Order: sequence, then C-alpha cells, then structure tokens
Amino acid sequence: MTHNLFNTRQSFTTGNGSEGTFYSLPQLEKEGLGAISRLPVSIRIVLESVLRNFDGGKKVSEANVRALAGWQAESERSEEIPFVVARVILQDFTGVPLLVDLAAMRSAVQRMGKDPGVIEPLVPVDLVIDHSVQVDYAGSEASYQRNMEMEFKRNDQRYRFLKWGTQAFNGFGVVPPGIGIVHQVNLEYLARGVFEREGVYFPDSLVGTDSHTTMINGVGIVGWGVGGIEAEAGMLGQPV
Amino acid sequence: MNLTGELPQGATATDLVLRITEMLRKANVVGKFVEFYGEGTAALNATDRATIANMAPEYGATMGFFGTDEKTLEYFANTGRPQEQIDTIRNYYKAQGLFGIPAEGDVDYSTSFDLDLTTVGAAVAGPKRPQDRIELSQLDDRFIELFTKSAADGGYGKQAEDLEKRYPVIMGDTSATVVGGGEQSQKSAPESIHDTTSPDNTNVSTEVEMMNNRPTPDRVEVSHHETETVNTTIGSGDVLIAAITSCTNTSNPAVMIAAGIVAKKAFEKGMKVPPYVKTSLAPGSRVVTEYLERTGLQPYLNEIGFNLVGYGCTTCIGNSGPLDAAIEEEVVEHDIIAASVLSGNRNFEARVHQNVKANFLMSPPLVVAYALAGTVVKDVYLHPIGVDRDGNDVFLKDIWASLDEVKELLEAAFDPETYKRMYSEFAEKNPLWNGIESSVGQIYEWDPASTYIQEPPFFENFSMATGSFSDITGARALAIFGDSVTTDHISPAGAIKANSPAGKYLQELGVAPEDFNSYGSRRGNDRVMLRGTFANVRIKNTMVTPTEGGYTKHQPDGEEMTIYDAAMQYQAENMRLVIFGGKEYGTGSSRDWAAKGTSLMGVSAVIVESFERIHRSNLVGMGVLPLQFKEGQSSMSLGLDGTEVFDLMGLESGDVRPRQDVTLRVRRSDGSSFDAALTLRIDTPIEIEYYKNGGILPYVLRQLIA
Repeated sequence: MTHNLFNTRQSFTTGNGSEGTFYSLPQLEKEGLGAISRLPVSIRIVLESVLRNFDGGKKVSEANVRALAGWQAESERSEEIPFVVARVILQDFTGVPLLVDLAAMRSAVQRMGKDPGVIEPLVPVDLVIDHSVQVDYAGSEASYQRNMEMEFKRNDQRYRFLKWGTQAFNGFGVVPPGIGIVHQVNLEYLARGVFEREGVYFPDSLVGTDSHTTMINGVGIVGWGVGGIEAEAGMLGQPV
Repeated sequence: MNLTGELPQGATATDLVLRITEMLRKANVVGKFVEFYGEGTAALNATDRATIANMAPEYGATMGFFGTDEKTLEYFANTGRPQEQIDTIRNYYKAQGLFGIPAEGDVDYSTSFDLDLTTVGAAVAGPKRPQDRIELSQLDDRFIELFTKSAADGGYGKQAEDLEKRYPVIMGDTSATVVGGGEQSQKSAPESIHDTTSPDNTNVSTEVEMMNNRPTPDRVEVSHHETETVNTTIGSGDVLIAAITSCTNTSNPAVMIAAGIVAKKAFEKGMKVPPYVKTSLAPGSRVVTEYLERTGLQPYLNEIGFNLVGYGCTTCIGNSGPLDAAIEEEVVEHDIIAASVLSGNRNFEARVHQNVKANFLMSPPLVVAYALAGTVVKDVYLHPIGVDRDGNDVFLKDIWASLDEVKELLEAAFDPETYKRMYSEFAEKNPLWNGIESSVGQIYEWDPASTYIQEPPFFENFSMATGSFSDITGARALAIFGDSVTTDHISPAGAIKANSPAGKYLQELGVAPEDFNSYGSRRGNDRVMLRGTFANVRIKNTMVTPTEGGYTKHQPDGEEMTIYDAAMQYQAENMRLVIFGGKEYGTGSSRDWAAKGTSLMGVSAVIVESFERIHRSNLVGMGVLPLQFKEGQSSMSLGLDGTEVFDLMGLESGDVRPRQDVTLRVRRSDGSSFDAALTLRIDTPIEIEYYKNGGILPYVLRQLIA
C-alpha cells in the first residue's frame, strides 16, 4: 500500500541517475516526531521499515511509528515493534520446515483446484545447505570428496526435497551443499545493501534461522537469528 | 561501543572479537542492540567488522551493528557487486542521513563502552565459554590451573601428576566403527534461567544449535588395512583437533592468509604436526580456496595436514567427526583432558567433540601454530613450538605472519571476477547434487516412505472461510506444569530416545536406533516432531507426580500414559484440550516445533501465569489461544489436579479485542464449579486476524488465493 504519512514519501537519485522513491527519515524529524538524526543507526533502519510498512493500523499503526521515532536513550520500553524484514535466510536444518510448509500450501491450493503458482514467499528467501557436512575424513587430498559422499548418502531424503525446492519457487533460493556457510555466502553474495520494490528503495534487512545471522551487521544490514515460526512470519511478509 | 586507535602488530580480528566478547559479556548486553562507532570503528575494514558482528550471540547482544560507509561499499565492490548497485546504496544512505560510521557524540546511545584497539593482544578463549579470554602467554598456566581445580570451580578435578602421564597408542591399528562429533543427549541440554541465558552466563541458543541443528554423527567403518599404523603417545593438554573452521574467521581473508603464511614457513623449516592432531580446513566459501591457491598458500596448508574437508559449518557446530579409534579409546579409558583448537565462535564442553573437554577459540594462524605445537600446555612466546628438519628449535615468532606479509597477498583475496564466477551456476557444478533424483514442477510429490519429509496436516481441511472466535467448552487438561517450562521441555533438542513415542514410531517404520538422527534433522516430518512434543525426559507434569518425563493421565479414567498417546486418544474422542503452566512459560531459545507440536496435539489454549514473549507469539501464529491468570492466581492457587472439565467463556462475541478478559469455568468431578478471570494474551490487532484464520499460515494462504 502506498502512503505518504508525514510527507515522508520522497525521492533520491539512484546509481543509474534515475529517480527513486524512498521513505525519508529526515522528514520525520522535520515533522517533529523526534531527534531522528541522533538515534542509533540500527534503530533508524528499523524505523524506516516501520514507517514504510505503515498500513493504517492492521500490521503497523501511526502510533508504532511515533513510538519508535520518539525513542529515548534513557527510558524503559516494553511495546512491540512491528518490524517487516526485506528477506530471510535459512540453513538446511532449520530451513526445511519452511520449505515443507510452502510445499504443503501448494498441495492444498492444488486440491482446491486453484493455481498453486500463487504460493510464493512474499519476501526473498535463501537457504544455504551448510550444516550437514561432517569431518569424517581429514588430512588428505581425498577428504573433501569422501566427506561430501558421506553427506549425500546420509541426507538423500532431505536433499531430494531441497532439490525440488531449487526449481519450484521464484522467491526461494537453495544454495546446494559444497558451496559455503550461510553467513559467509550472505556477506559475499546474497547481501544487497539496498532493495527496490515497485520503485521504492529501502535498506536490506533480514532474519535468519541461525543465531550467527548477526554477521551481516558487519556490512550495515540489520538482522538477527530467530526461530522457525518468526522466520516463517518474515517469509510471509508479516512483522517479526 | 566506541572503538579508538588501531590493532597493533601481532593482533588479529579474532583477538579483537574475543576481547569484545569478554568485555560485553561482563557488561551484560543480553537482548540489546550493540552499535559500534568512533574513529577506530571507521578504520576497520568490513571483514573485520563482520567477524565482530558474528559473535553477537556470544556476547549476548541481539545485534553487533556497524553502519554503512565507504569501507562497506569497498567490500561490496571487491566481492563483485555491480557499481550501479553500490552507487544506489551510497546515495540512498546519504539521502537518509545514515551514511558513515557515527563519530563520538553524533548519536545518543543508552550506554557506552570504550575500547582502545591498541591494547588488543593475541589471545584465545576457553576452555568452556567464549567469553573466557586468555592472553596467549597465559594459556599454559590457565590450563594447568583448571586441570586440578574441582569441577564445581570450573576445572577438571584431576591430580597434578596426571598432566605428565602419556599413553602409547597405535593409530590406524584398530578396525572399528567410530563415531564423532559433539554430545547430543537430551539430558545435557543447557537450562535457560533468564530468556536465553544459561546459569553459566552463556547463550543457550548457540549451545542448543550445537546439539540439534546438526546430524547425529555418521558411523564410519575403519579397517586397519586402509591406513598405515603410526606409533605415538597422547596425554592431557594434547591438541587432538585443530580446525580452521567457521564463517566467523574464514570470511576474513586477512586471518586466512595469515594461517597460510604460518603453514608455509613451518613447511619450509620442515616442521611437522604430531600425528594425533586431527587437522582440517573448512572454509565458508569456495572463494577462500581460490585465493589460497592463487597466493600459492594452499599447498603448504595441505603439506601440514590442513587439507580441505568441506565447505560448511563442520567443527564449529560439532560436526567434527571421529577421532582415531585407538586415540578415542585411550582418552575415555584414562579420562584424558584433551584439547581442541578451532577458529570457531563457541566451545561448550563436549559439544565440539563428545570426548574433547577443553576447547579453545583462536585465530586461524594460531590454530596452525597450536597444531604444530600439539599441546596447549606450552608458553608459545617463551618455548619453541617445534623443531625444524635439523632438530633446531622453532619459535612462534619464526613462523608468524607479519601485517605487511599479509597485506602483500590480501589483494588476491578481493578479485571481483572470482566472486562473480564462484557464485554463478554453482548448482550445476556439483555432480553429486546433479545426481539426486528429485520431483520437479510446482507440486512436491510427497514420498510416503520418507521418515524425514512428510506433508504436515496444517491445511488438511482448508477452506476459504475464515473462522471466528468461539467459546471452548468441556475441555480437559492435557498437562499441568509448574514454572519455567522451556521450549526445550516442550520440544526437546538433540538425540531421540529409543523408548520415546518418536523413537518407537521410527522403529515401527524400520529405522534402527543408530539411524534415528537428531530431532533437528527430522523437523521436516511432523509425525516425528508431534511425537517429540512434551517428550522431554525432564518435564514435570503435576498430574502424574512424582513421575518425570512426558506422561499424563487420560481423564476421566485416570490412566497414565505418554502425553502423546493421551492427546491422540482425546483427539479420537473429539475432546478439546488445554495446557496449564506457571511463570515464564516457553522460555529458552525459540523452537519452531514447540508451538507447532502444541497445535498438532490438539491443544486449544495454553493457560499460564506468564509467557515468554516469542513463544506466546508463536502460539498465536499456530492458532493456539494464549491465556494468562490474573496476578496472584495460578493452577495451584485454584487447586487444579487435572480431573476437572474446563470452559473458556467470553470469546463468543463478534469483537474480541487484544488483552480482553476471558472467563475460565472449572467444573470439578464432584459437580461443584467456580469461575476465574483470565487475560487473553492476543496482544495486537494482526494477531486477532491470525487467530481467526487458524494461524499465520492459513491467514496468508487465504490472502494469496483470494
């Protein structure tokens, strides 16, 4: 939903010189919502998400925007902040149930005689298979290949399913085994810095189903580890 | 956190993050956003920042955040991101007034800590917690001190003379089935005392991840014809595992190149790693192999045993694999306090490997150095870490990588074209992956024979009609719990017990107990996970006191059975169910199947004195009503024993509001009854919608196909 709460819908020049739309945090300060420019950077990035996802109160209300914009360094806070993330990352252990649920939704839609293709994650999801390889063999040239063979033998049932996932969805990527560790792949490849959706630009942000998801904080991206159901909410465009 | 100055010669990003972890754990930043600022922060490059951000769970913070600046963009450019995207990022953050690392005084923080980077020195952390930093020169002293200290004081309770004892082993001599990896038994799961913090002041989530988010180790058949036998001796303090592992460090080319340089110098001097050290290199990206090859360092790493073993989490999550069978036998028989050295981010006792008790986190070059030394009981500044081919002493300084030597090779690690190449068409390049036969198309062909992946029943009777709130009448208590029921009580992590409902079910399907694998690996099979729900051996249901574990009484007959069996019987009887709990219900690390399992058991409502924040929200997300007793009331104060029948009233009206009152009517078996007021812990308008729809999944599904 397009809104212009506090006249924050503004434009900036993108990398190719064209005009891009964004929800302006400095404008919130001009409108008197608080000393935004003195807020911690990480809180301002969360605030941008709250502001942009304002929908009149169903998921995000004006009160949510005001509360976070008026964040005080010294005061106690206990209210929930409805944070909608730009994307989700998963690893193979925690990520399987999310793909299972998406697959089950597809099956349900098919049973209803409707187009299962409408079932897609609402934000991009990437699952990196990194948790299954074990160091069964070490210290020789053959170690890498032998460990991977053990891994594939052991995980046949799960990998068959995950491989289906690689081709079934536009918005659900699977990085196969033997490529890397999710947080490093996130740094080197998945992270985008800034996202664009329907002409609106906004900061990259994420939740991941692994505690060390925070690694991406090193390159200016807000994100942390969550449980499977919060990640599922994030994947379905719901606040976490 | 205000960083000033810069790292001195000899100190790495790993040393820095261990220092920060120590500082911030003491400062108690649990559940907080930590943000780094100041000139020292601005001078750090992005990979060093990422190392620091990685360990936020170890220092307890929700985040360890660094803003976007030119260093960030430089990293994006070096790793092959398009220039146009980089310019968009710069322009966007500038338009938001968010570009650059804040200088001191720019931002109002709740609290602040200072760290002068010039004071950071080489260090390790361990042997049981990531925040227990030890200056490198102190490692031997610290190990000796802990060796004889009692277990209650965090030591190993050994006699001083045991440290001198060495035991002969013939490696490769035994034909055996060996298993490796970290401890996974349910009984060893850490407790959560406050949110996700354990009594030891460590992060429960990261420890549970090392139990549950990994496979139960493979059994590897070893025959002694396969390898040559080697005669050696082992003793306490010996390094049995030396692993260059974990994204924490393998993402940082500076420390990986340093490790390669140390290996090169060691090889050139003819140094050897003792045979009992299991050495491994598992980078978090194939780019690492590219630059280690390009700089010519990988062959030296190979020469001393740090061959590539895989691209994945490996030792860092407890997938360390088996030790030599003869070594393992001696370690167990003589209770040898063996050590691991790893460039990971956590080191809980027995989680890296079940029989390796002392685990030290350190930078990759130090992992190589300690592999060469073969022991942690050595002052690597004062004493030689080994000998060269002529038998002359070699000291750490003789093989250490200087900052200049690292810098010289660093450019090779940042070739944008390499990153682009490594991250294109990667799926096609793995023949094993290509060889997997899998279903194609939009719909998954569920395999009824799979014990890992099954279609969950969340959408079994799905229709487009949104449900509504209604009163719940005639419900039974499935269980009545006390305080501090954790997510681990509700949905246990780690190993599946053979006599548990899940274990019996797997055996019925022909899965032998040694092939059970962990609960975590079977998360894609609701039938296993449902049977695991409330099956923790430590859960206490007051309806069956003094019995512990996942048992209850089916009512009204009072027959004792597993909670799973009772739930299934009630489902067959069309009986509504409620769960009672005490304070902080659902505390501990977030566990998806805690709420999913509760829902699939047929539980309509969970009534407690207080909820942990996320579990409450998860219950609503799965269509289960969270309800809270009024202050001062509890299942105990109401005298509930599980023989009662319960009604929940006040939900019938059209406009159920967040946090409204609900009436609990308790009907006793003697015919008497009374009412108690509860608070509906549906907290937000969107949660009202989730609940009416039966949870988040059906809510979104209806929106998508509407």
